[in-house]
Amino acid sequence: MPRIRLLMWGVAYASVAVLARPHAAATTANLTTGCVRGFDRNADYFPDKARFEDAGDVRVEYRKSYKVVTVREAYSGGPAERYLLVQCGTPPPRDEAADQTITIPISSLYAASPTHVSSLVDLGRLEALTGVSRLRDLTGGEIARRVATGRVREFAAASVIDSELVVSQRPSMLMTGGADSAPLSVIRSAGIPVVANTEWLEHTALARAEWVKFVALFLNEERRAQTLYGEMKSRYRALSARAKAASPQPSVMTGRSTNGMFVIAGGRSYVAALIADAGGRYVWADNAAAGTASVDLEAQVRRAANADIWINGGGWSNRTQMLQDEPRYAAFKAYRTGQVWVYERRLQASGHNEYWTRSVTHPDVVLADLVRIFHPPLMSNHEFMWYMAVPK
Amino acid sequence: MSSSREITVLSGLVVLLAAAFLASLILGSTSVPLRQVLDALTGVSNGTDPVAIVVRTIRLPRALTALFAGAALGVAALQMQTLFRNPLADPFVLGISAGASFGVALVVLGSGLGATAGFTGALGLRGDAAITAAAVAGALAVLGLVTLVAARVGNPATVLILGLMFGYAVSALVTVLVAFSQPERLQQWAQWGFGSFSGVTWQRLRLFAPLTIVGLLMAAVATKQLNALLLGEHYARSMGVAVRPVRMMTMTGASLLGAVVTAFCGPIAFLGIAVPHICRGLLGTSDHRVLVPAAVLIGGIAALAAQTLALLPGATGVLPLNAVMALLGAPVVVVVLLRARRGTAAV
Amino acid sequence: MRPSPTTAPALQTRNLAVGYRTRRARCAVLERVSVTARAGELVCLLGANGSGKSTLLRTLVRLQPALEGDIELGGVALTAITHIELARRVGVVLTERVLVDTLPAARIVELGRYAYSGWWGRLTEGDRQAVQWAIEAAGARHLAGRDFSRLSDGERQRVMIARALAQEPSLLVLDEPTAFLDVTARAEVWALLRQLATERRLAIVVSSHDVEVALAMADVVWVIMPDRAIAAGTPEEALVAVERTFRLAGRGSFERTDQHEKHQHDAR
Repeated sequence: MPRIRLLMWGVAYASVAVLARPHAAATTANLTTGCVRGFDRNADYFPDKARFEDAGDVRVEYRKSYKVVTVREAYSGGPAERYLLVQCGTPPPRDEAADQTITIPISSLYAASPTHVSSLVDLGRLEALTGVSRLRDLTGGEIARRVATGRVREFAAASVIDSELVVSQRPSMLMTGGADSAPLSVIRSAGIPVVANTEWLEHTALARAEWVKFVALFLNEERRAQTLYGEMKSRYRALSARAKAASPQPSVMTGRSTNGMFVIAGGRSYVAALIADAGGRYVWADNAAAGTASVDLEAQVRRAANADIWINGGGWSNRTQMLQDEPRYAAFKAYRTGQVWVYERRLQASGHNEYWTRSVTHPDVVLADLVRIFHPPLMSNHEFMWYMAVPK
Repeated sequence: MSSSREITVLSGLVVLLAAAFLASLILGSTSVPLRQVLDALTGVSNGTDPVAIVVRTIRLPRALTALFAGAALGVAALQMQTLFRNPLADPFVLGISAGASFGVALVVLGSGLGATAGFTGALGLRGDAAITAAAVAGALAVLGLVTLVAARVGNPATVLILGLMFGYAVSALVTVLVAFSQPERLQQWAQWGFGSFSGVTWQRLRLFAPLTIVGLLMAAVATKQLNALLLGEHYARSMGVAVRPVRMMTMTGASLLGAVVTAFCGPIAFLGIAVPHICRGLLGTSDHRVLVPAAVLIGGIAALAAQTLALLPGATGVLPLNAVMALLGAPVVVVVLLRARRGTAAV
Repeated sequence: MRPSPTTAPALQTRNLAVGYRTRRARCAVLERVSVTARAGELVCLLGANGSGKSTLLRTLVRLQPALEGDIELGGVALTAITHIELARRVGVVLTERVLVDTLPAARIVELGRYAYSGWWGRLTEGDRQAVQWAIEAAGARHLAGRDFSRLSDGERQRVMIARALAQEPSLLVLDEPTAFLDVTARAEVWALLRQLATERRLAIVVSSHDVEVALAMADVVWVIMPDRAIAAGTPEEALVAVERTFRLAGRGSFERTDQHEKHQHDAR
């Protein structure tokens, strides 16, 4: 008798275990390739979830078999957009309004901006890249090798998207760089999803870097993205804390002058945020612009004549040539003391600067460079990645 | 007679010009009191006084540049309007501005192309100097082309249309360069396109001022011919004007003035077209002996006023000069024309 | 009064052909023109529309090149005279309407001193006197201070004639100066021209449609014939030639009869 009772308990237990738990067959991790076979209404197909902590322009909500992604502005000043990312092999939801519905994980991506490509590299999914705006914007290592395979098409060589090419090649998706243009509506109506990546509208470097998760959403690579970003962020935060605690805090100016007008980073731009995080004081911290701003040479002289450090100018071969361009640069102490730093260390002969491709997703490296500039004793072991001093 | 009106108006304009000049030294991203401005100008204030430095190295060359540029554009436009008997002509109708833009675009946008970088590099020119040289070269190239063609074509209206066509063609080339350029360079290109008097330092003024003065003198010398041309080319010829050479020289001189201003200050639109109309309206005469000095004065005043207004936003930003010129100038021209027309019955 | 034959005539042509030359063709409008105009003579050039009056006049004042033949002004070949020298010998008034904004009539007359004045257009005392004389001679004193663009057509022509006179020419050439004028203005202009010829001893060549007035006022008439030649002579001789070749249609105008149209013959 006791053995039968044991068997019954065992069967009951097993039944409960089998019946009560949701089918976990496909869901220990997100499916980074392929589709679901045998859809289970109750299964959570996205055990790896992403959460946006710093990026304010994008939001994601998870349902069992699809994700709802909202982008605050599809382009600067544009309307919000809502995307449904439906797991392949599951039925698309009814009663969900959306601007675009995309089946994920995608297998081929047309990317408008080199920063998207950089995200793919970081996620280890470069093989998904099948198209870019301009091939000559891509350089360096893995990317060059991928381009060399000939599997990456160029779809906007002359600054205008070649809609015929895109439509005929039928990628899984086209990711814009946050700008609107007429060919996009043609591409959408041909059935190719178009989503907007507006990382550049964010106000801080971390927020911009967090958009690697946005790219990951379409590839189901949330786990890797969360790890990458989390590690990067803690490095960033740790370094920033040390830098902010260091003293003295140097005053910092930005920009370059063309025809007597100084184009500088705005006070609410990500550059200003980086400066603060690196333990510097930006002379234009009270400026309201979130991107760049134009100020009169005179105003810059007033503000920055005694600034300790000058970053983010550029286009100069040496300091003597700077004076030939604009003799009034001599009014700046940073110029006279040789503290003029530009991000041209990785500038190529072709004119392409890797900084634009890779630095967005690695603000911790940018920060390290800046801390090395602002507080050299803290970073004596760090080798400059992007920044260099303009030589005499 | 009307000559007393002319004298009165011209004297008034001289006073207004002096006032505008001083205003441009006083106003800016911050106001400098007149006393301090005068101290800085007369060398009374200390060499390291930051206010004096700002006035001497930034504001004074800028004001002088505006003065010369405005005078040059005003007089050049006057010449072109008389020569082509077209009230909409300015020194750029022959495609000069487009040529200058093309030169600059090659340097700024096309430096990825080894050819131009090597060319300007070989001349020992970098940065802003290369831009100026390229602008002059581009303008001269288009001017040369148009002159070659104009020498064969008798009719000024035909020359005008040819110049317009060259301008369009060259502008199209610029657009192609823009389409294929790196996004980072486009901002510098756009900056140049706004036009600015602030980029001419004392050193560059040493080249800019004499060039414009030479151009203005050439225009002054041609005053008699321009007056005769008011009656049309046939009458002018019958009165002894050597029409073909005069036409070529005037065209070239006016275009050169336009080219020089564009090379140093970027493309300055609108001011040229407006000034002759304001001159005629205020002075009440078509006599170039009066109009040429008036164009110098009014051109200078307009340029200085636009420059000062463009800086009004101060620390929050700078308005593009071309935008201010048009916003300021268009209503003025309308008012002047309407007032003049009201006197003329049913024209 | 005829001047002595030893003085060179103000204008003389020999075997002149005028017309147009394009790259491919040579189109002569008038040929074998050998005519003379002397000081004190009022010469009237008569011809149908399109017969070449303007072409001839423009060629005579070198606004257009001649196809063939010689032109002499005061005995000097036209081709040997500079622009400035030509302006001092010949004053021209054309049909074309002059549009000048806001300039007083006196300034327009002053422009006629172009060939004499200094580089800025400065006028010496002599220049000013010449301008005054020209204004008086043209009967335009009451117009001098007024805005040129506000004058009537007739008044404007008067000012343009004054301007031509300010060049102190020995020859005046006028291309249909009365074309846009009403009857009174027309009469005034003709009276002025007659007076200028007689009293100021100018040689004047005028082209016109106005056969009646021409035959009444002119000393010499040049008539353009259908064979592209010119018949020159006194008004009486011209009338005969005209009657032989043309018929007068209506009052004072020509119409060609080579198309065999018959018209009313209105005798004087």
